[in-house]
Order: sequence, then structure tokens, then C-alpha cells
Amino acid sequence: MPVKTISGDTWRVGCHGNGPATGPVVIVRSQEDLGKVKEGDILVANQTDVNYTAQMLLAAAVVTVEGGRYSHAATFSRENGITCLIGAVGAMDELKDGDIVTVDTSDRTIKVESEEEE
Amino acid sequence: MKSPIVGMGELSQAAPALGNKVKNLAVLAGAGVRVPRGFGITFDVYTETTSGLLPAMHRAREVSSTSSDLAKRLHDIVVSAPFSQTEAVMEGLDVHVPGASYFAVRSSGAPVINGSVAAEDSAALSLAGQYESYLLVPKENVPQAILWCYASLFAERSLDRFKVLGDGSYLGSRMSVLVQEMFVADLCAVVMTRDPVEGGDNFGMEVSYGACEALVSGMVQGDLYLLSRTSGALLTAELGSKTSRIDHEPLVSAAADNKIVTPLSEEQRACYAATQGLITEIYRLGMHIERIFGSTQDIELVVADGEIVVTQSRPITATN
Repeated sequence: MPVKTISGDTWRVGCHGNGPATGPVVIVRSQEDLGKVKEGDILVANQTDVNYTAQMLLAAAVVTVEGGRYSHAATFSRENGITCLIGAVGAMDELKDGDIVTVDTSDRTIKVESEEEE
Repeated sequence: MKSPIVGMGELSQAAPALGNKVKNLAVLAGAGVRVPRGFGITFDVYTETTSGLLPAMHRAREVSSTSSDLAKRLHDIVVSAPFSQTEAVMEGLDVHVPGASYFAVRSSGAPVINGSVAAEDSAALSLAGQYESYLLVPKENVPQAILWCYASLFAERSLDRFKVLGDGSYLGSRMSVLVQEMFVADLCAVVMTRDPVEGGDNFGMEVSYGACEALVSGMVQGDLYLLSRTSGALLTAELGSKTSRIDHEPLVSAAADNKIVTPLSEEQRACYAATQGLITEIYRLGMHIERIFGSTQDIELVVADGEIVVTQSRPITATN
């Protein structure tokens, strides 16, 4: 059972990718944080742009707080088959680096499987 | 060299000398769809401007150890290139876009990757946002902005993405440039004539206030509408966050960020940006454009002074 499940009214599907994706959260607040992203991570950012593409390709899923169905994050994810949720208001506040989560586009939720110790 | 400046009306015939972005708008103009007035500057102008610089560019690659280092060197080389077409460009502005004071100057790159040329916004490779566009450029700065577009071929992100430190063939990349009359957008929309996310037979559009950049960059979430492709009936409307809008101030230097971000009021955010009438009009226009190209399209448009102006149309690159 997940520790908690988060979602919201503005949460939308950017790309279903290969279905639900599980991995450790990495919060990217600015381009300086991009170096933290490793293969299989869940990349969580306010928004993405072309400078994020190398790290998006490493990620198991991409979650953005802002942005809509046809934003860069959604379009790039779709072109590369990456599971992607956009408009995920609250995701940056509710999650922290190292939390193991499952990004599920079928019900537009993030399920926190285990939380990283503070 | 054939004429370096190709007006919208003549563009379709000149397509190989220009990028897909330019060609698609020209096709629309030819079919009577409202697009900004403008002209293209052929790949040949790029070649003429930069061919003398190639030895210096190759040397820069040999002595650079990082993409960032190489990006700086190449930028300096390209922006200081002697540009022989200034007069032709200024004349083009008068002939093709009489009366306009501000312009959008957009890149259409043809990168060379591992020795072969890739076309921008082809179905195979998305270069959306890869190269720079400059908006609200005053008339006198248009020639300079063309060089900024050229230099954006060698921005760090492209040198990284295409691994240029290990592949010198990229330095043979070329660029055509589109110069358009600038419209100040009241509303913007990104339209997918077949929504690619859910795979159904739906027509999708995202609508918000101000310039399209806010939607494309993901800075805001627009209102989302899904319609039946066959009947145009509205199936779903979801209110977006629409937290702010992007406008521009006149651009005077490539380094200056001329974006103005204005927060939107609670009232603007709480109501849908588009009327039912506008949604229907965009649906009809989108399907019309799809028929013109014979394939589903990813379209950017603005509403300025109550009129819809199409600023970009390209094939939808991939479906879920």
C-alpha cells in the first residue's frame, strides 16, 4: 500500500508512456539541479525546456507543476515515450528527493511508496 | 545566388531554399489562410555569410574542451560576421511588409548530424524550440537579429544534444530565417487536429492569454478543449491555471530578455479564455489546415484584434 496518494484538479496527462513508472524522486528547481538526475529517476520540475532534454531522456517519468497538454514537457515526453503528468500543482511541495513514487497517468496520481528519511 | 529574399506569395516554389517552417506558412498563405505577412531568407544567405568563417569555427572546435566553451567561441565568431544582405533585408521589409514597425525573426535550422542533413520539424525529428526566435524586433534591428538566429545554431544546448565536440560535421549546418510582421496577441492557442495524448478521434486545443510562448514553454496551463473531429461538438472543457501572460517589449539586444510576465487576475483565471464562437472558428480552421496538408497538424495561432492569425503549422510528430 502506498504511504499516500497525491493528485489535483489541474493534473493532466502529458503522455502515458509505457504505463505507471516507479522510481526515486529528483526535484529540479533550476537548471543547476539537472546534474542530480540519474537513469530511472522521477524528474519533478516547475516546467521544462530544451535545456532539460538530456535529463528527461534518462528519467522514468516527468512531472511538471505548470504547463498543459501541449507544453514542451508533454510534447517531448510523447515524442520519446516518457510517462508524463503536467499541471501537477503541489507535487514539488509534497515530494522530496529520494522518495520512491509511482507516477500513474491512468488516474492522474502520484503514489508515494516510501518516503526518504529526513 | 538567386534572390536571397523570398516573399510569402512566392515561397512555395522556393521551398528547398528555405526550411519547413517557412514552407508550411507559405502553403497556408497560398491557400488563403491568414498568416503574418513576411519573407524568408534562404539557406544560401547563411552559407554566403558564414563560409569564410568555417576554418575559424573548426579551429574553435579543436581547442575547446567543453560545449560551453565552444558555444562562446562560435557565438562570437558568428555574430560578428559581415552581413552583406542588410540592404536587401531592409528593402524586403518595405516591399513585403509595408507599414509594419515590429517583426518576429524566426530560425529554421537544418542541422547536419553525423554528416547528414536533418530538416527542422520534419516528422522524424523534433527541433521545436531548439533554435531561437526573436520577437518584437524593431525594424532597424532585423539584420542583426538574423545573425543572432544564425548564432543560435551553436548554442550550448545544441552542441550538447548533437555531440558537436565529437562530430565536426555539425559545423556545416545551415539556417534559413523567417521575418514576419509581429502580432501582439490577445489570446493564443496550440491546436492538435487529432489529440495525440489519448489516441481517440478528438480535436484538441489549449487556449490562454497573451503570447503563445506561455503555453509552449509550459509556463502556464491553458484551458483545454477536446472536440469531436467529425462533428466539432465540444466533448470536454477543463479550466487551466492561466496564472500569467507573456508579452514583449521591443528587443534591442540578443542578450536582453524582452519578455514581460504579468500575473492574471482571479476573474481572468476563473473564466474560460475563449468563447464558444471562437472555439468553433478554431475547429473549422484547424480541420481546413489539416485538409490542405493532408495530415494531422500541430498549429500555433494568435487572436489579435479579434482576428485569428496562424503563426505555425507542422505535422504532429508522434502519438502516444
